[in-house]
Amino acid sequence: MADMDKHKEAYMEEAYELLAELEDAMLALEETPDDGELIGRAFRALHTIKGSGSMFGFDKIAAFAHEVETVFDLVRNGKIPVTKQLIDLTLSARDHIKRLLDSPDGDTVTGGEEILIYFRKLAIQKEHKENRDAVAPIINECASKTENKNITFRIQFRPNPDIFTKGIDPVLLLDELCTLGNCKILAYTDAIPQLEDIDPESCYTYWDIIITTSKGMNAIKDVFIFVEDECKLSIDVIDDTGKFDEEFGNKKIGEILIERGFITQENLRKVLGQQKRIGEMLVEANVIEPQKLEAALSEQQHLREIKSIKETKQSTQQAEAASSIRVSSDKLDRLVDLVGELVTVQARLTQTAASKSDAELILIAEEVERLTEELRDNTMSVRLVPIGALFSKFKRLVRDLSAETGKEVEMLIEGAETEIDKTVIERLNDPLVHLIRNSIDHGIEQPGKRSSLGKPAQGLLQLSARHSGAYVLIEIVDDGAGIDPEVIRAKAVEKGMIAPADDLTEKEIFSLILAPGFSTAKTITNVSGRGVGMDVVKRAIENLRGSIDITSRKGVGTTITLQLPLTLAIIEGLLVKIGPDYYVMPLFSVEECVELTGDDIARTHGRQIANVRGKIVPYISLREQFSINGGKPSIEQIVITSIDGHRVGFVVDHVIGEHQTVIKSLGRFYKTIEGISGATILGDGTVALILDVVKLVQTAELEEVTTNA
Amino acid sequence: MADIKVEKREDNNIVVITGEMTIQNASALRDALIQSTECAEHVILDLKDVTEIDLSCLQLLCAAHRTSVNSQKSLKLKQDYPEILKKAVTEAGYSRYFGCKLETEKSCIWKGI
Repeated sequence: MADMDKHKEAYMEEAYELLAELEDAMLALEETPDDGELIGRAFRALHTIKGSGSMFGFDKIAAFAHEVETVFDLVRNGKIPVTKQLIDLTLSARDHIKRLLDSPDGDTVTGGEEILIYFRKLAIQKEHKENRDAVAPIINECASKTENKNITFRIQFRPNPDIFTKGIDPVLLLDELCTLGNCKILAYTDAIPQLEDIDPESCYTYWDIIITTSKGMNAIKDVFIFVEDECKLSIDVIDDTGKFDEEFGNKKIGEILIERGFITQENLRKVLGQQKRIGEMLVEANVIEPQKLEAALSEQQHLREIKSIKETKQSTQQAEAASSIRVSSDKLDRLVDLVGELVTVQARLTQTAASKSDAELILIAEEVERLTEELRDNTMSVRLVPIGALFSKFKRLVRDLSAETGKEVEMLIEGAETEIDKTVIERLNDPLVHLIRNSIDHGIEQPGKRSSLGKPAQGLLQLSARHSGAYVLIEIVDDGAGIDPEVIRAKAVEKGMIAPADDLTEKEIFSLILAPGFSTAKTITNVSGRGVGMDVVKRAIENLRGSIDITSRKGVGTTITLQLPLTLAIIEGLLVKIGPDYYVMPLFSVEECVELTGDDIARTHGRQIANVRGKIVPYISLREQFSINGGKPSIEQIVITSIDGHRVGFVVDHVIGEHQTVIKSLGRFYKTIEGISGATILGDGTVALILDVVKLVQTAELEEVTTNA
Repeated sequence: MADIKVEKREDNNIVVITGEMTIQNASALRDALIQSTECAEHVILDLKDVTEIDLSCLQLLCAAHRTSVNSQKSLKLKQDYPEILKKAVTEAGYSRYFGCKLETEKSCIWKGI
């Protein structure tokens, strides 16, 4: 029972992936409706959803997918063209299947029948059309021609040894294959070991199948669709003139003799060499006439040419497939946790080694440090996934929104290969959905209006991602109406968020959009404008230790930039000390450290600004900020950071040095404390708080404003 | 279920297998085959009353033959094999005109099936 549940779970996981695949294929088909490869992808996705569905008891899904698949079979054979209607319909079918998957019993999900009615209509229309039109469209003619012509294929089928344990009997596949046409099956038994060595539950047999069929390559591929991952498979056309059948009898013995355990898939050339020797032996033994051998060899030569091309292709694909494995993210999280612990222990080792002044120990500690660092980087990179998958999910959103709002929007994706932590990607979905909705709803204008403004009727929405240091920058750019600072300002005044006389820069005005309860849409639409948006987005991004930036030009468009950390688990920090306590500052924001003497303070009359190489840098005394008692050293240190393009210093007692910081979140009692983003454990077990420098600066600015007022 | 009985004759052992030669019984069959073939010079397999045979057991028979060839013994199928074996051999593509490359005496059990 538990096993069945596991299978069901695996099926659902696979089905969700296939649905995504189907959606991708549909959206891509919209741009290139003639792409047979895409149609094939969609068909295969439906076919697998159906097949595995019925295998694991998802009968409703199987029945539904079956009907959709039927139509796609016609599409694949060129009998139904790819139209917008078909794409729309397929997308809604995809949604329906998803709903069926989501609901445990599937009884509450309705609407499937309606969708199927449309699909059936499509199939019927096609029949009518065929009856009416004496002259079928060229594409149909081609398709039917290919369909009726006998083609001879050579199939090499090598199941994985563990195929029996997956509940698959390869012979059943061969049986199915035989229903397609004239079929000769030749089993290779050379891998079967001695009785003592055989694992009775392993499959050692592999096959060469010569089949002459009128059903085409796709029909053959469909037979093997469920075992694609469980075998090595190559299908080659060895004769498409339709005459192979007649000659088959002559060649058959030659073929079988050649294949009698001497051809290996891996190295055909070598095999050909062997084959020749065997051929000679056979001729000597009078088993075969030299002429016939000649004929067989020339055919083999022909095969080699076709196959060597295919094999190169296939082996590359197989290499790619083998180079990745699926791991549950729980395991990965656990690994990251463990590496985190290891980093902490390693720091402790380094510290202990240094304090003992034992050269040998220090050497070991250094080695451990180097390895740990490598391990940490490696583990982190395992968690990094390309952002492209997330981006392409939005294609559908953009498509639906454009339809809903009557706007024409083209979506461009840039930097899909940019990698970012899996957790960040997961938590980025909702904010991005919101931002894209906003761009389409508030940003991009109706086509008519755009034309009158001299813009192309089709609006542009660009999603891009790129690395910038320890951060990833994600930009959502639209060429819509832009944001009018005056409108924002008026609205903020109306809401009492600012005073009418306040002098604000454009940047400050735009940041008002991110404040809670701010919404400028005059009418609340289905798409956006409920006034709960941007502050939620901002909070979500800040929770990811990221930031959000808006730039916009009225009439030209808006760019929203999200700056996000690559990973959430470990940061490089600068360890500092104030009084007895340790603190960590994120190293990426630190620019330099300078000394602060009593004289310096006296020179600026206590205004908390420092002169660094002729430039004025304001600073915040953390000792004061955190109300730490005790005497400060005569020479303090200013750690100068760069925040939003401004240089701000933080005064500390001592700068200890760089420190790899494993971030531990604070308990819920301390969650609300501003200016602290987490904690870390030092080598000796001491807790050091991680400073949120951005928040600290904001708090200080606020205090200053209040004091001055 | 599958059952193996060994009839010891003067010059050979006849191994009679009955029942289902399927993957469920494959492990047991393997062990039984090892036992019943290792002490006899000539073995004849009687599969007349086999009701089902699948690929895993075809492989076993192949392996058994292989082992006998290796130890210079002989292993043959009794000629009145059931239709079901013929069908399984054909479907799995095990039928042979010549034996495999280990073959020395042209004794391949699949020949002519």
